[in-house]
Amino acid sequence: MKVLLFSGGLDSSALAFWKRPDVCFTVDYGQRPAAGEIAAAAALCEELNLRHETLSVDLRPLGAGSLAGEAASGLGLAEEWWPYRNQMLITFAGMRFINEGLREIMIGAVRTDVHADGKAPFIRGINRLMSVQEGEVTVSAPARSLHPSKLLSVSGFPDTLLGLTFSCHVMEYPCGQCRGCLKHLQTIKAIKRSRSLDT
Amino acid sequence: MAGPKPSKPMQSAARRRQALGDDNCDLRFRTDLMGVRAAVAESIRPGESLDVVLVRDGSMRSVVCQAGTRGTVGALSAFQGLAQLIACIEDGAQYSALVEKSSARSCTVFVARSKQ
Repeated sequence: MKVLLFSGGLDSSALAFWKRPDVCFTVDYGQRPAAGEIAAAAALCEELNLRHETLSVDLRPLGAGSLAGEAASGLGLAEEWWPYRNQMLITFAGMRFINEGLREIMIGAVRTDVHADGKAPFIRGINRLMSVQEGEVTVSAPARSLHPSKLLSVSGFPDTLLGLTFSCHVMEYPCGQCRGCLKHLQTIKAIKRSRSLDT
Repeated sequence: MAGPKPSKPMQSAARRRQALGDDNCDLRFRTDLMGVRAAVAESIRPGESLDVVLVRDGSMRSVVCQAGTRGTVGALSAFQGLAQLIACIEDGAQYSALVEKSSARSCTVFVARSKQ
């Protein structure tokens, strides 16, 4: 079984379309945009005919930065940094699916990720950490070396589904102003520009 | 001894516009909604008019299109001038969004100021 950590954002949506995991897994860990992420993820999974599961664990008291509605931590390189976020999400996915034959957990890390838990050393480390435990689960980031617009292109993710995706860091509806929304818009502009040049 | 120089009071968007002698709230633009809610979007049809509503969550703001009691269709966030739109709505300007294309996956609207 392959499980994808799925926020409904552009990167994980492209991965879902490209890799067709057995399960797309969305966690409401207390982040402010959780309702928007879950709505987007559910709609996309229905369109893609993929199994979707959600888990709700309120960790907001342990969060930091814009995702938690808190001041940015001085430790992260961007306002949305939440301590050990991907490590936590990967652990939840492992706990939830280990008894269902879980073999691999995929995460939507891409080349432009600024946080340590989206970079190659973390992927290697968490893969090693998970694989030495019961079940020998592996962790992969298939788009780690790709720019987000390249991922959209490589995956073949259709333009018709772009409107369903959701990347806001701060609200249930896209604010258009946070780093998540701005990256989302820049990526869509880039992919549309490249496709118009191709035609 | 002179104290610290008092700072100028912040100008509202309306005052700034008066200073410019221009109505910067006469906004018109076409855009695709973002974060489309499939269940609501599939119920709307081209030609339908949607309410443009400012949503607040603490200090955060988003501008969404609502289809009456059916709920929110999606957000107006993929266009230049979002900050101006928010400032105008906060100053009392009202807008509506005419649905041009719509499906459960996407919605294209033309936004213009409502007659007041």
